[in-house]
Amino acid sequence: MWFKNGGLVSAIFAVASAGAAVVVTWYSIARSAELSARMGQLEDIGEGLLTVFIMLAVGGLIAFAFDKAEDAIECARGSKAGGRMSEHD
Amino acid sequence: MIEIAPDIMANLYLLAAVGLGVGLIAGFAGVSGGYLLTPILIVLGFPVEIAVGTALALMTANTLIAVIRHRELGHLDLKMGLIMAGGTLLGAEAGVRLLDYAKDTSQQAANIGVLGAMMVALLLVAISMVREVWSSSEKLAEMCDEDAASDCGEVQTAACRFLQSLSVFPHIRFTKSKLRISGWIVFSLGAVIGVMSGFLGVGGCFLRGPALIYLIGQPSLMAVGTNLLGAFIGVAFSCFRHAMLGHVHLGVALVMLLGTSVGTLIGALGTAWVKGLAVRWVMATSVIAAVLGPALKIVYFATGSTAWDAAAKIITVGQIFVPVTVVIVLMVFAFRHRRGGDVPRWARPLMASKPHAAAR
Repeated sequence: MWFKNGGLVSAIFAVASAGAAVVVTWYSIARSAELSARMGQLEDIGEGLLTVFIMLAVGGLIAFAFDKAEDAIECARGSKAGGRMSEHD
Repeated sequence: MIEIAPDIMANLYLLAAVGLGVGLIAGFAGVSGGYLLTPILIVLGFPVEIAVGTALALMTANTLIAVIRHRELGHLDLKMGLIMAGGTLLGAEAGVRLLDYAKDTSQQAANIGVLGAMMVALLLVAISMVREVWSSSEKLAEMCDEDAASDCGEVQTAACRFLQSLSVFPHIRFTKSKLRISGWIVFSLGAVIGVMSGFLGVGGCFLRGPALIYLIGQPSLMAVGTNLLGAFIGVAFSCFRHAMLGHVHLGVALVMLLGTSVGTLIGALGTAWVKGLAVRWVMATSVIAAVLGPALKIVYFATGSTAWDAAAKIITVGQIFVPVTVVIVLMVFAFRHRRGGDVPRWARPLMASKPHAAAR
């Protein structure tokens, strides 16, 4: 459902989406004084949990994006090698 | 530029580029890359506790990505990874407390302690790995191509035969790794590496990987994923504890993650086209390269001479290029080999004749 014919553009789009999400997260945390201050006010355990949660969420998002990117490339290869439709079509 | 601490700034582009190089090596060798990352951050001027905490945060995301990748490639013994992770959690708590105590006692002692301990560990691993990889290369070169093609990196050392023969309850069968060994040995190994994870800010893969291969007797390619699972659980817990102590710079971790994640993806894909021996060669090269920078930084801490500090910075960032070049050269040759092209004689024993069966 993510892409019709796959290919490099779809792959780049999937990875770029994850990259953009990471940049927005980084900007929110590192550059927004209000959010940084709120994080500083958290209890120790809350700060620990939030940090791990952010890194796991971002890591999971990137892994998912890479998986989709690879599927897009596989899908394009399938189309080129005889018009076989991928499961994502 | 981003502010790390009062009067300490870091270049974001440099951090992202370093992340890319570390990710490439980590993905290919199946390590978390902390043994490269933490010394780099310290050498770039990060306070040691921030360097350790930030490296752990970055590795939490990075090892998660790598574990998912290697699980898809079929390089993961879940049972062994979870038993080892149990020991790692226990050890990691001890390591975090040890670093906090050292930092409260003296910042200088903590700096030298972390870098010194890392150097000793890296040197020991480098020496043992180079000896083994060298002898394996000679053996493989003597094999005919068909025998060599069947190599998936299984190593039977005297130590692993002895440990597998110890029948301490519970003696567990690990079907994916095709071996039987006491659960306590796997657990204890995880605990020792956990201490290093919490204290040094490393995933411990550069120790756990060789230990799985040479002490437990796990095939190299299976050790890659198992190693990363143990590392993931260990670093996630250590990251949580360091974040509680305010030692994590999330902005730096996220910027570096962009580079490492791309590098990890490319590196992990490359493992499908080479033999276990190539993975061990890259790991050995990266471990050797990682020793020099911390050594120079220790001299700087001891003498206070800024010339040593500058040399440490140049060497530490430059050292990334050695294993990165090795990975790129191997991947180019593997690509040519796959297409029926000619590759140098020395590289042939390192190339898989077809992608590993489990690879996608």
